[in-house]
Amino acid sequence: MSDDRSSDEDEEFEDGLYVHEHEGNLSKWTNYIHGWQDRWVSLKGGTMSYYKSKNDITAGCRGSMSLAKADIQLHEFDELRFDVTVNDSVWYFKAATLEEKQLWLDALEAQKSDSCHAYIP
Amino acid sequence: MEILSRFKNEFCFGLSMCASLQEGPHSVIKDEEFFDAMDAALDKRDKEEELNDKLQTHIQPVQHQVPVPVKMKGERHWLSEECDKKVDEAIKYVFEDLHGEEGTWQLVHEEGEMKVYRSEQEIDGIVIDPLKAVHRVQGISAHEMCYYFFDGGCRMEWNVTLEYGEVIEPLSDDCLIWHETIKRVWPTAQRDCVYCSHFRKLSMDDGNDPGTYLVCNFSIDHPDLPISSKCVRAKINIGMFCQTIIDPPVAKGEEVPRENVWCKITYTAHVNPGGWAPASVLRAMYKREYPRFLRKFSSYVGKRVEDNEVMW
Repeated sequence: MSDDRSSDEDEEFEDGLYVHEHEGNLSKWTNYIHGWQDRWVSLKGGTMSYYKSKNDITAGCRGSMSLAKADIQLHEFDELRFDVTVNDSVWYFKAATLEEKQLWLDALEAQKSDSCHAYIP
Repeated sequence: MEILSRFKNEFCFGLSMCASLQEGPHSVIKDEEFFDAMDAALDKRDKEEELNDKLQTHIQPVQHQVPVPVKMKGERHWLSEECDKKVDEAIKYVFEDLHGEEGTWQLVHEEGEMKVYRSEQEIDGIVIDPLKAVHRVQGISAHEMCYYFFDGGCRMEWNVTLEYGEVIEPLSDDCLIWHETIKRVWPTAQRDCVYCSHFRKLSMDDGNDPGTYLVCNFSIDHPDLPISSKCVRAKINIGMFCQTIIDPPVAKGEEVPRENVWCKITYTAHVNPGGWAPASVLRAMYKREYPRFLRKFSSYVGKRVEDNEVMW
């Protein structure tokens, strides 16, 4: 678990245990009024979190989900889009390019298997 | 190892398909077995974390003065009045005498500086014991404690039971409506919760208060989130009340070193878990989980702030 890391461990595992931390802008579906909006998204410690914007991190987080049991779905027609689901809650995302989408998908998969180790049913 | 846990996953999933073996009106599991299953699941979960903060004993005069809420920051909104009410209510709970004429509070857990009290109450057979925990932590201010309790960005780092949390409606900087789901602990059904979280500065009105803060989390009904078939909707009413206490000696005009800063915490919780979990199990669970939460959360905040300037 990420909160058990001490700072010297950090350096030790920098390119080992905690690979595939990933953050950046993604377009996220908000609602019918605001539609697709840019959000700052961060993947680490088996958790996906999003913020209103990178500069707004201090204004707090707008959502987090544990990826252990999350379901990642690609869109049938829109090749830039992917959906992340846990229970009844779905987040819809669109990447700017195919390469970017692939980076997110790889990071999501890595985080998902990473969080499985920490997750005990 | 992974194969084993995957097998366990599927095994539990298979069992949960069989309605009479899990939480519900037709559950055939005896309370002991129900408890043992949950206890085993929680024990395993505990191994995810290390808990190693030994607290020093520390004697401090009791604060009898009741604080008053400072005006809400930001603009008013559809839950402002409810927030004002909940703040007053939370203050009332915090300062309610544990040894009053009610006489219903009992000390159920004590370790170091932490004391946990409970008042046994059931409504229609569901345990909704009000709970009050008092704790004191060195090296953290009240503002810091409440700030991190209010901040959803770090919630998953200290609360491993959380599966998902999202702001459904931001009302103002100090007031957010959250929807959260808790990871399922077999054989109980999964819980979710929709609540308003409100951060408020309080004032001790003596002009010499180093900081008194409160976060209230209280359940609300929200049109966008009807009860789902996948979760039992829990109802909460929680107050995280914190006061900064400064240890002498600190010379006038000098910066207060962190080790002289203490946070006195009074945590009050009214939780109605809904569903069909047996009373004895819930009581055992609460007794175990609340102290754990306080230990874990305060040590988390301690680590987060240790190298920063004190946030008063």
